[in-house]
Amino acid sequence: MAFDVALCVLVAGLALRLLTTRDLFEAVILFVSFGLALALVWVRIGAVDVALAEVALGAGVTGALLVNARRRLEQKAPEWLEAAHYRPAAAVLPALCGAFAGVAGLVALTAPRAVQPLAPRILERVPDAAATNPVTAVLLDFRAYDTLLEIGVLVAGITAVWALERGRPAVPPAATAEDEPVLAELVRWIVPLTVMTAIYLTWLGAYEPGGAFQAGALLAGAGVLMLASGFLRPYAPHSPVLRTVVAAGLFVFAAAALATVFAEGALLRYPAAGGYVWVLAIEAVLTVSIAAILAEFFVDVPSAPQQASGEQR
Amino acid sequence: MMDLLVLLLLACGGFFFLAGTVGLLRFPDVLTRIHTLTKADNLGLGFTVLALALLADSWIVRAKLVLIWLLVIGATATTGHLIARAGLEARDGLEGRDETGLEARDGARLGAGDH
Repeated sequence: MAFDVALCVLVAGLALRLLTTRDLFEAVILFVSFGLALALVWVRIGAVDVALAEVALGAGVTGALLVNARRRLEQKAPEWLEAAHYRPAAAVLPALCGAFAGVAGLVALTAPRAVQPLAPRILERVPDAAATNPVTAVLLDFRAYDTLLEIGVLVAGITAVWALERGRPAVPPAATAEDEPVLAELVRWIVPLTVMTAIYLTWLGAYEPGGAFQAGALLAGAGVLMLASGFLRPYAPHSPVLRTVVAAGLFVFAAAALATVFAEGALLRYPAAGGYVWVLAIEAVLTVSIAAILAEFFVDVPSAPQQASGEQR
Repeated sequence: MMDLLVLLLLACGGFFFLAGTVGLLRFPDVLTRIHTLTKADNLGLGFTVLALALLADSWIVRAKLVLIWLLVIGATATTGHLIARAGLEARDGLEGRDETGLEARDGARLGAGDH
Protein backbone atom coordinates (compact mmCIF):
# COMPACT_ATOMS: atom_id res chain seq x y z
CA MET A 1 0.00 0.00 0.00
CA ALA A 2 2.68 2.46 1.05
CA PHE A 3 4.70 1.37 -1.96
CA ASP A 4 1.75 1.98 -4.29
CA VAL A 5 1.18 5.45 -2.88
CA ALA A 6 4.87 6.26 -3.26
CA LEU A 7 4.75 4.97 -6.83
CA CYS A 8 1.72 7.13 -7.66
CA VAL A 9 3.41 10.18 -6.21
CA LEU A 10 6.56 9.37 -8.18
CA VAL A 11 4.68 8.96 -11.47
CA ALA A 12 2.65 12.13 -10.98
CA GLY A 13 5.73 14.08 -9.89
CA LEU A 14 7.76 12.90 -12.88
CA ALA A 15 4.89 13.77 -15.23
CA LEU A 16 4.51 17.25 -13.77
CA ARG A 17 8.21 17.97 -13.92
CA LEU A 18 8.42 16.52 -17.41
CA LEU A 19 5.70 18.82 -18.69
CA THR A 20 6.95 21.96 -16.97
CA THR A 21 10.71 21.74 -17.32
CA ARG A 22 12.33 24.25 -19.66
CA ASP A 23 15.27 22.04 -20.49
CA LEU A 24 14.47 19.71 -23.39
CA PHE A 25 17.27 17.31 -22.46
CA GLU A 26 15.91 17.03 -18.94
CA ALA A 27 12.46 16.44 -20.42
CA VAL A 28 13.77 13.55 -22.52
CA ILE A 29 15.48 11.91 -19.54
CA LEU A 30 12.36 12.45 -17.43
CA PHE A 31 10.26 10.88 -20.17
CA VAL A 32 12.33 7.72 -20.00
CA SER A 33 12.18 7.70 -16.18
CA PHE A 34 8.43 8.25 -16.39
CA GLY A 35 8.11 5.26 -18.71
CA LEU A 36 10.04 3.04 -16.30
CA ALA A 37 7.96 4.19 -13.31
CA LEU A 38 4.76 3.69 -15.28
CA ALA A 39 5.88 0.16 -16.18
CA LEU A 40 6.13 -0.54 -12.44
CA VAL A 41 2.54 0.66 -12.08
CA TRP A 42 1.44 -1.76 -14.80
CA VAL A 43 3.26 -4.60 -13.03
CA ARG A 44 1.55 -3.67 -9.76
CA ILE A 45 -1.90 -3.96 -11.33
CA GLY A 46 -0.96 -7.24 -12.97
CA ALA A 47 -0.71 -6.03 -16.56
CA VAL A 48 2.69 -7.51 -17.34
CA ASP A 49 2.10 -7.39 -21.11
CA VAL A 50 1.52 -3.65 -20.96
CA ALA A 51 4.52 -3.19 -18.65
CA LEU A 52 6.77 -4.94 -21.15
CA ALA A 53 5.43 -2.82 -23.99
CA GLU A 54 5.81 0.35 -21.91
CA VAL A 55 9.45 -0.38 -21.08
CA ALA A 56 10.45 -1.51 -24.56
CA LEU A 57 8.41 0.97 -26.63
CA GLY A 58 7.52 3.82 -24.29
CA ALA A 59 10.81 4.18 -22.46
CA GLY A 60 13.32 2.46 -24.73
CA VAL A 61 12.57 3.09 -28.38
CA THR A 62 10.75 6.40 -27.87
CA GLY A 63 13.54 7.55 -25.57
CA ALA A 64 16.13 6.88 -28.28
CA LEU A 65 13.96 8.69 -30.83
CA LEU A 66 13.59 11.72 -28.57
CA VAL A 67 17.31 11.90 -27.88
CA ASN A 68 17.90 11.84 -31.62
CA ALA A 69 15.21 14.43 -32.30
CA ARG A 70 16.71 16.79 -29.73
CA ARG A 71 20.14 16.27 -31.24
CA ARG A 72 18.74 17.16 -34.63
CA LEU A 73 17.11 20.31 -33.26
CA GLU A 74 20.45 21.29 -31.75
CA GLN A 75 22.12 21.00 -35.13
CA LYS A 76 19.41 22.37 -37.41
CA ALA A 77 17.41 24.85 -35.35
CA PRO A 78 19.14 25.61 -32.03
CA GLU A 79 16.75 28.50 -31.32
CA TRP A 80 14.01 25.93 -30.82
CA LEU A 81 15.83 24.57 -27.80
CA GLU A 82 15.21 27.85 -26.03
CA ALA A 83 12.47 27.80 -23.48
CA ALA A 84 10.44 30.65 -25.00
CA HIS A 85 9.34 28.44 -27.87
CA TYR A 86 7.49 25.93 -25.82
CA ARG A 87 6.57 27.86 -22.72
CA PRO A 88 2.91 28.17 -23.80
CA ALA A 89 2.77 24.40 -24.31
CA ALA A 90 4.39 23.92 -20.93
CA ALA A 91 1.51 25.81 -19.33
CA VAL A 92 -1.32 24.23 -21.30
CA LEU A 93 -0.19 20.61 -21.31
CA PRO A 94 -0.19 20.01 -17.53
CA ALA A 95 -3.60 21.67 -17.30
CA LEU A 96 -5.00 19.47 -20.08
CA CYS A 97 -3.44 16.31 -18.64
CA GLY A 98 -4.69 17.18 -15.16
CA ALA A 99 -8.20 17.80 -16.47
CA PHE A 100 -8.16 14.52 -18.36
CA ALA A 101 -6.91 12.59 -15.33
CA GLY A 102 -9.61 14.25 -13.22
CA VAL A 103 -12.40 13.32 -15.61
CA ALA A 104 -11.06 9.77 -15.98
CA GLY A 105 -10.86 9.39 -12.21
CA LEU A 106 -14.36 10.79 -11.77
CA VAL A 107 -15.77 8.36 -14.34
CA ALA A 108 -13.92 5.44 -12.77
CA LEU A 109 -15.25 6.30 -9.31
CA THR A 110 -18.84 7.10 -10.26
CA ALA A 111 -19.51 4.68 -13.13
CA PRO A 112 -22.41 2.33 -12.43
CA ARG A 113 -21.27 -0.99 -11.06
CA ALA A 114 -24.01 -2.89 -12.84
CA VAL A 115 -22.02 -2.99 -16.07
CA GLN A 116 -20.76 -6.51 -16.50
CA PRO A 117 -16.97 -6.45 -16.50
CA LEU A 118 -15.31 -7.66 -19.66
CA ALA A 119 -12.50 -9.70 -18.14
CA PRO A 120 -14.52 -12.72 -16.91
CA ARG A 121 -16.28 -12.97 -20.27
CA ILE A 122 -12.94 -12.97 -22.07
CA LEU A 123 -11.38 -15.50 -19.71
CA GLU A 124 -14.42 -17.72 -20.28
CA ARG A 125 -13.74 -17.80 -24.00
CA VAL A 126 -9.93 -18.05 -23.90
CA PRO A 127 -9.97 -21.89 -23.99
CA ASP A 128 -11.52 -21.69 -27.48
CA ALA A 129 -9.05 -19.03 -28.66
CA ALA A 130 -5.94 -19.49 -30.74
CA ALA A 131 -3.68 -18.50 -27.81
CA THR A 132 -3.83 -19.30 -24.11
CA ASN A 133 -2.45 -15.93 -22.99
CA PRO A 134 -5.65 -13.87 -22.62
CA VAL A 135 -3.95 -10.68 -23.86
CA THR A 136 -2.72 -12.38 -27.02
CA ALA A 137 -6.11 -14.04 -27.43
CA VAL A 138 -7.70 -10.59 -27.50
CA LEU A 139 -5.01 -8.97 -29.63
CA LEU A 140 -4.71 -11.64 -32.30
CA ASP A 141 -8.00 -13.50 -32.15
CA PHE A 142 -11.04 -11.80 -30.63
CA ARG A 143 -10.07 -8.34 -31.83
CA ALA A 144 -7.35 -9.11 -34.32
CA TYR A 145 -8.54 -6.33 -36.63
CA ASP A 146 -7.40 -3.79 -34.01
CA THR A 147 -3.89 -5.17 -34.26
CA LEU A 148 -4.16 -5.22 -38.04
CA LEU A 149 -4.97 -1.52 -37.93
CA GLU A 150 -2.10 -0.87 -35.52
CA ILE A 151 0.50 -2.32 -37.84
CA GLY A 152 -1.20 -0.30 -40.59
CA VAL A 153 -0.63 2.86 -38.53
CA LEU A 154 3.06 2.02 -38.14
CA VAL A 155 3.47 1.47 -41.88
CA ALA A 156 1.64 4.75 -42.59
CA GLY A 157 3.94 6.49 -40.10
CA ILE A 158 7.15 5.30 -41.67
CA THR A 159 5.76 6.14 -45.12
CA ALA A 160 5.13 9.70 -43.95
CA VAL A 161 8.67 9.94 -42.58
CA TRP A 162 10.07 8.70 -45.87
CA ALA A 163 7.96 11.28 -47.72
CA LEU A 164 9.24 14.10 -45.49
CA GLU A 165 12.83 12.97 -45.91
CA ARG A 166 12.55 12.77 -49.69
CA GLY A 167 15.05 15.50 -50.27
CA ARG A 168 17.71 14.27 -47.90
CA PRO A 169 21.17 13.49 -49.19
CA ALA A 170 22.45 9.96 -49.46
CA VAL A 171 22.94 8.07 -46.23
CA PRO A 172 26.25 9.18 -44.68
CA PRO A 173 28.94 6.53 -44.22
CA ALA A 174 28.38 4.64 -41.01
CA ALA A 175 30.77 4.92 -38.10
CA THR A 176 33.07 1.93 -37.98
CA ALA A 177 33.33 -0.50 -35.11
CA GLU A 178 37.01 0.42 -34.66
CA ASP A 179 36.01 3.90 -33.48
CA GLU A 180 34.52 2.44 -30.32
CA PRO A 181 36.04 -0.94 -29.47
CA VAL A 182 34.30 -1.12 -26.09
CA LEU A 183 30.86 -0.45 -27.56
CA ALA A 184 31.63 -2.86 -30.40
CA GLU A 185 32.42 -5.62 -27.92
CA LEU A 186 29.18 -5.01 -26.03
CA VAL A 187 27.22 -5.09 -29.27
CA ARG A 188 28.86 -8.40 -30.22
CA TRP A 189 27.60 -9.87 -26.95
CA ILE A 190 24.24 -8.24 -26.62
CA VAL A 191 22.79 -8.37 -30.12
CA PRO A 192 22.72 -12.19 -30.42
CA LEU A 193 21.21 -12.37 -26.92
CA THR A 194 18.60 -9.77 -27.88
CA VAL A 195 17.67 -11.64 -31.05
CA MET A 196 17.30 -14.84 -29.05
CA THR A 197 15.16 -13.07 -26.45
CA ALA A 198 12.99 -11.54 -29.18
CA ILE A 199 12.35 -14.96 -30.71
CA TYR A 200 11.55 -16.31 -27.25
CA LEU A 201 9.16 -13.42 -26.51
CA THR A 202 7.36 -13.87 -29.83
CA TRP A 203 6.87 -17.57 -29.16
CA LEU A 204 6.01 -17.00 -25.50
CA GLY A 205 3.30 -14.48 -26.41
CA ALA A 206 0.83 -17.28 -27.11
CA TYR A 207 1.07 -18.58 -23.53
CA GLU A 208 2.38 -15.83 -21.29
CA PRO A 209 3.09 -12.09 -21.37
CA GLY A 210 5.04 -11.27 -24.51
CA GLY A 211 4.27 -10.99 -28.20
CA ALA A 212 5.05 -9.22 -31.43
CA PHE A 213 5.15 -5.62 -30.21
CA GLN A 214 7.41 -6.30 -27.24
CA ALA A 215 9.68 -8.58 -29.24
CA GLY A 216 9.71 -6.15 -32.17
CA ALA A 217 10.73 -3.29 -29.88
CA LEU A 218 13.55 -5.40 -28.44
CA LEU A 219 14.75 -6.30 -31.90
CA ALA A 220 14.52 -2.64 -32.90
CA GLY A 221 16.70 -1.83 -29.87
CA ALA A 222 19.30 -4.25 -31.18
CA GLY A 223 19.00 -2.58 -34.59
CA VAL A 224 19.46 0.89 -33.08
CA LEU A 225 22.54 -0.32 -31.21
CA MET A 226 23.99 -1.80 -34.39
CA LEU A 227 23.26 1.38 -36.35
CA ALA A 228 24.81 3.57 -33.66
CA SER A 229 27.92 1.45 -33.37
CA GLY A 230 28.43 1.09 -37.10
CA PHE A 231 27.73 -2.63 -37.40
CA LEU A 232 24.76 -1.98 -39.61
CA ARG A 233 24.77 0.47 -42.48
CA PRO A 234 21.37 2.14 -42.84
CA TYR A 235 19.46 1.09 -45.93
CA ALA A 236 18.39 3.78 -48.36
CA PRO A 237 14.61 4.32 -48.02
CA HIS A 238 14.07 3.12 -51.60
CA SER A 239 15.86 -0.15 -50.93
CA PRO A 240 13.57 -3.01 -51.99
CA VAL A 241 14.83 -5.16 -49.12
CA LEU A 242 13.87 -2.54 -46.53
CA ARG A 243 10.48 -1.87 -48.11
CA THR A 244 9.67 -5.57 -48.27
CA VAL A 245 10.54 -6.11 -44.60
CA VAL A 246 8.60 -2.99 -43.54
CA ALA A 247 5.49 -3.98 -45.48
CA ALA A 248 5.64 -7.73 -44.79
CA GLY A 249 3.77 -7.60 -41.46
CA LEU A 250 0.84 -5.62 -42.85
CA PHE A 251 0.71 -7.72 -46.02
CA VAL A 252 0.81 -11.09 -44.31
CA PHE A 253 -1.76 -9.96 -41.72
CA ALA A 254 -4.07 -8.56 -44.42
CA ALA A 255 -3.62 -11.69 -46.52
CA ALA A 256 -4.51 -13.82 -43.51
CA ALA A 257 -7.59 -11.65 -42.95
CA LEU A 258 -8.70 -12.14 -46.57
CA ALA A 259 -7.97 -15.86 -46.45
CA THR A 260 -10.10 -16.29 -43.34
CA VAL A 261 -12.94 -14.36 -44.94
CA PHE A 262 -13.01 -16.84 -47.82
CA ALA A 263 -12.21 -19.97 -45.82
CA GLU A 264 -14.19 -19.37 -42.63
CA GLY A 265 -16.66 -16.70 -43.68
CA ALA A 266 -15.54 -14.11 -41.12
CA LEU A 267 -12.68 -11.64 -40.89
CA LEU A 268 -9.78 -13.21 -38.96
CA ARG A 269 -11.74 -16.16 -37.68
CA TYR A 270 -9.03 -18.80 -37.73
CA PRO A 271 -9.69 -22.42 -38.68
CA ALA A 272 -10.65 -24.30 -35.54
CA ALA A 273 -7.76 -26.75 -35.78
CA GLY A 274 -4.77 -24.58 -36.66
CA GLY A 275 -5.47 -21.27 -34.95
CA TYR A 276 -2.26 -21.39 -32.97
CA VAL A 277 -0.13 -21.78 -36.10
CA TRP A 278 -1.88 -18.80 -37.72
CA VAL A 279 -1.30 -16.61 -34.71
CA LEU A 280 2.34 -17.66 -34.37
CA ALA A 281 3.04 -17.06 -38.07
CA ILE A 282 1.40 -13.63 -38.02
CA GLU A 283 3.24 -12.69 -34.83
CA ALA A 284 6.60 -13.79 -36.25
CA VAL A 285 6.25 -11.64 -39.38
CA LEU A 286 4.83 -8.75 -37.32
CA THR A 287 7.86 -8.87 -35.00
CA VAL A 288 10.32 -8.47 -37.87
CA SER A 289 8.29 -5.70 -39.53
CA ILE A 290 7.78 -3.77 -36.29
CA ALA A 291 11.51 -4.01 -35.56
CA ALA A 292 12.40 -2.75 -39.03
CA ILE A 293 9.92 0.13 -38.83
CA LEU A 294 11.04 1.28 -35.38
CA ALA A 295 14.73 1.06 -36.26
CA GLU A 296 13.99 2.92 -39.49
CA PHE A 297 12.34 5.72 -37.49
CA PHE A 298 15.67 6.03 -35.69
CA VAL A 299 17.62 6.28 -38.94
CA ASP A 300 15.30 8.76 -40.53
CA VAL A 301 15.62 11.29 -37.81
CA PRO A 302 19.16 11.63 -39.08
CA SER A 303 21.33 9.45 -36.99
CA ALA A 304 23.26 11.38 -34.36
CA PRO A 305 26.09 8.93 -33.56
CA GLN A 306 27.39 9.12 -37.12
CA GLN A 307 27.55 12.87 -36.90
CA ALA A 308 29.29 12.61 -33.54
CA SER A 309 31.99 10.31 -34.83
CA GLY A 310 32.47 12.68 -37.74
CA GLU A 311 33.13 15.51 -35.29
CA GLN A 312 35.84 13.60 -33.51
CA ARG A 313 38.23 13.59 -36.37
CA MET B 1 16.91 -17.37 9.10
CA MET B 2 16.68 -17.28 5.31
CA ASP B 3 14.31 -14.31 5.49
CA LEU B 4 16.76 -12.46 7.68
CA LEU B 5 19.57 -13.06 5.19
CA VAL B 6 17.37 -11.89 2.30
CA LEU B 7 16.40 -8.76 4.21
CA LEU B 8 20.02 -8.05 5.01
CA LEU B 9 21.07 -8.44 1.38
CA LEU B 10 18.20 -6.25 0.17
CA ALA B 11 19.15 -3.59 2.70
CA CYS B 12 22.76 -3.72 1.49
CA GLY B 13 21.56 -3.40 -2.10
CA GLY B 14 19.34 -0.47 -1.18
CA PHE B 15 22.20 1.18 0.65
CA PHE B 16 24.48 1.03 -2.37
CA PHE B 17 21.77 2.33 -4.70
CA LEU B 18 21.12 5.18 -2.29
CA ALA B 19 24.85 5.90 -1.98
CA GLY B 20 25.17 5.86 -5.76
CA THR B 21 22.29 8.29 -6.16
CA VAL B 22 23.62 10.61 -3.49
CA GLY B 23 26.99 10.49 -5.21
CA LEU B 24 25.41 11.28 -8.54
CA LEU B 25 23.76 14.33 -7.03
CA ARG B 26 26.64 15.50 -4.86
CA PHE B 27 29.85 14.72 -6.73
CA PRO B 28 31.33 17.64 -8.60
CA ASP B 29 32.23 16.35 -12.07
CA VAL B 30 31.45 13.84 -14.77
CA LEU B 31 34.15 11.30 -13.96
CA THR B 32 33.41 10.96 -10.24
CA ARG B 33 29.71 10.75 -11.00
CA ILE B 34 30.30 7.91 -13.43
CA HIS B 35 32.29 6.25 -10.68
CA THR B 36 29.29 6.29 -8.34
CA LEU B 37 26.94 5.02 -11.03
CA THR B 38 29.05 2.18 -12.35
CA LYS B 39 30.51 0.98 -9.07
CA ALA B 40 27.76 1.57 -6.53
CA ASP B 41 24.90 0.55 -8.80
CA ASN B 42 26.57 -2.69 -9.78
CA LEU B 43 27.11 -3.59 -6.14
CA GLY B 44 23.55 -2.57 -5.28
CA LEU B 45 22.16 -4.66 -8.09
CA GLY B 46 24.47 -7.53 -7.14
CA PHE B 47 23.12 -7.63 -3.59
CA THR B 48 19.53 -7.31 -4.82
CA VAL B 49 19.98 -10.12 -7.34
CA LEU B 50 21.57 -12.29 -4.67
CA ALA B 51 18.61 -11.68 -2.35
CA LEU B 52 16.09 -12.44 -5.09
CA ALA B 53 18.03 -15.55 -6.14
CA LEU B 54 17.72 -16.85 -2.57
CA LEU B 55 13.96 -16.22 -2.72
CA ALA B 56 13.52 -17.74 -6.18
CA ASP B 57 11.93 -21.17 -6.31
CA SER B 58 13.58 -22.53 -9.44
CA TRP B 59 17.04 -22.61 -10.98
CA ILE B 60 15.82 -21.18 -14.25
CA VAL B 61 14.67 -18.04 -12.45
CA ARG B 62 18.05 -17.79 -10.68
CA ALA B 63 19.83 -18.19 -14.00
CA LYS B 64 17.71 -15.40 -15.48
CA LEU B 65 18.50 -13.14 -12.50
CA VAL B 66 22.23 -13.72 -12.89
CA LEU B 67 21.94 -13.10 -16.62
CA ILE B 68 20.21 -9.78 -15.93
CA TRP B 69 22.97 -8.84 -13.51
CA LEU B 70 25.70 -9.66 -16.04
CA LEU B 71 23.91 -7.76 -18.82
CA VAL B 72 23.51 -4.69 -16.64
CA ILE B 73 27.18 -4.82 -15.62
CA GLY B 74 28.23 -4.98 -19.26
CA ALA B 75 25.87 -2.18 -20.23
CA THR B 76 26.85 0.10 -17.33
CA ALA B 77 30.56 -0.40 -17.93
CA THR B 78 30.14 0.46 -21.61
CA THR B 79 27.86 3.43 -20.96
CA GLY B 80 30.27 4.68 -18.32
CA HIS B 81 33.10 4.50 -20.82
CA LEU B 82 31.08 6.27 -23.52
CA ILE B 83 29.92 9.05 -21.20
CA ALA B 84 33.46 9.54 -19.89
CA ARG B 85 34.73 9.82 -23.43
CA ALA B 86 31.97 12.21 -24.46
CA GLY B 87 32.68 14.26 -21.33
CA LEU B 88 36.38 14.48 -22.14
CA GLU B 89 35.63 15.49 -25.70
CA ALA B 90 33.10 18.08 -24.62
CA ARG B 91 35.73 19.62 -22.37
CA ASP B 92 38.63 19.47 -24.76
CA GLY B 93 36.87 20.22 -27.99
CA LEU B 94 38.74 18.94 -31.00
CA GLU B 95 42.25 19.55 -29.70
CA GLY B 96 43.98 18.45 -26.52
CA ARG B 97 43.04 14.83 -26.89
CA ASP B 98 45.71 12.25 -27.52
CA GLU B 99 45.22 8.76 -28.89
CA THR B 100 43.99 7.19 -25.68
CA GLY B 101 42.32 10.19 -24.10
CA LEU B 102 44.25 9.40 -20.90
CA GLU B 103 46.33 12.57 -21.09
CA ALA B 104 43.22 14.65 -20.75
CA ARG B 105 42.19 12.85 -17.59
CA ASP B 106 44.81 14.54 -15.40
CA GLY B 107 43.14 17.10 -13.25
CA ALA B 108 39.97 16.59 -15.20
CA ARG B 109 37.13 18.71 -14.01
CA LEU B 110 34.39 18.44 -16.58
CA GLY B 111 31.98 21.22 -15.74
CA ALA B 112 29.09 19.81 -13.74
CA GLY B 113 25.90 19.09 -15.61
CA ASP B 114 27.15 19.72 -19.13
CA HIS B 115 25.38 17.69 -21.72
